[in-house]
Amino acid sequence: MEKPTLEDLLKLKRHEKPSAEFWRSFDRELREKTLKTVVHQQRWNASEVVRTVRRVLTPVFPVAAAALVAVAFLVPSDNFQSGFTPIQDFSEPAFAVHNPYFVSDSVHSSHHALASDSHRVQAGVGSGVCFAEHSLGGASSMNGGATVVSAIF
Amino acid sequence: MGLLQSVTKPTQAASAQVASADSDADWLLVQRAQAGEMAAFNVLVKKYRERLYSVIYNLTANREDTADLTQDAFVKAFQSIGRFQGRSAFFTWLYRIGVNTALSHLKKNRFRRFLSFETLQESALKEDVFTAMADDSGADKSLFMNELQERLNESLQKLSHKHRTAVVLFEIEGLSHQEIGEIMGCSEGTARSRVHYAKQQLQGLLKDYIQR
Repeated sequence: MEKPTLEDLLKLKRHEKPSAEFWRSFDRELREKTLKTVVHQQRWNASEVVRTVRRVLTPVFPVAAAALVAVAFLVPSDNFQSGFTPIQDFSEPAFAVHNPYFVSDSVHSSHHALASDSHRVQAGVGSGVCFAEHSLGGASSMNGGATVVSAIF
Repeated sequence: MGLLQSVTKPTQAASAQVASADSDADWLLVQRAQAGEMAAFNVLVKKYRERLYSVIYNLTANREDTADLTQDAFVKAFQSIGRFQGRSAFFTWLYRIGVNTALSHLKKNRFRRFLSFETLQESALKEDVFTAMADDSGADKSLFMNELQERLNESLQKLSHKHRTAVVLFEIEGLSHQEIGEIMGCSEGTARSRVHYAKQQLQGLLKDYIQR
């Protein structure tokens, strides 16, 4: 008997094949796996975007919040009404009438102006004029008493 | 000799042309798959699934694992097809993914291995050399073939991963030493030496069944 060569024997391996039925289920499973991968990839991409945004915003958020608070204090707001009770002083009615906008640079003049404003408030009730006070730096005594008083029409 | 050369050269040239045309067709399909066309990738799967399955099966000798590993290899190829630049043939790139997937699996599961073989197709029984052997042995032909198949697979599993890969790709898949080098990430010479050494070992392991 003539024995086969090693090469002949190894060629036998080429005849070890799965059936046609196997390939049908193989294709179906592979399609499922591929689609799962696509969905997983999309989810991963979405979560990666969220993670990146969070990573960027986490250190920025406190700074942004602080900046917002600072801006809220510094930018004049029409809605902010002073709780400061003006001193009613009717000694100089003509001053308020001729100077609706002014900035005072001393505690004395500030009080003077406010006193005049209160006069204006009272004087302007009938004509639809009112006054609002905004304090730069939060307190007039801290910045040398500089107080901005604007008129709203 | 002159006649042999004149016959061989056009044959080689023709096969090179076929391989080149095949490679070009693959590259077009790859480009369509890279553009997001799933149908193009499915064509590539249909074209190479049996060959990739065969490589992985001959490395693992376990048909249940092979089905999963082949699918995993295709999924990996699908995931990274965007990075394929066409510097090598598509099938070389795909085989590399398949071989790496199979070898990683073998390394992970080296302590719990069991073998399960595919059924030999009817065509194997028609090979003259095996028919003659079966007749001489006096055993039932299919039983004899199954025994031969078992011995062969066991012997292959006794080889190291590198030698097994080299001999499977060369003798069973019919790849060239250069292609094996590309797939295994080694030189052509190293691939040649691995095939030679693997065959020497197999000769020793299968001495009762083969010619010296």
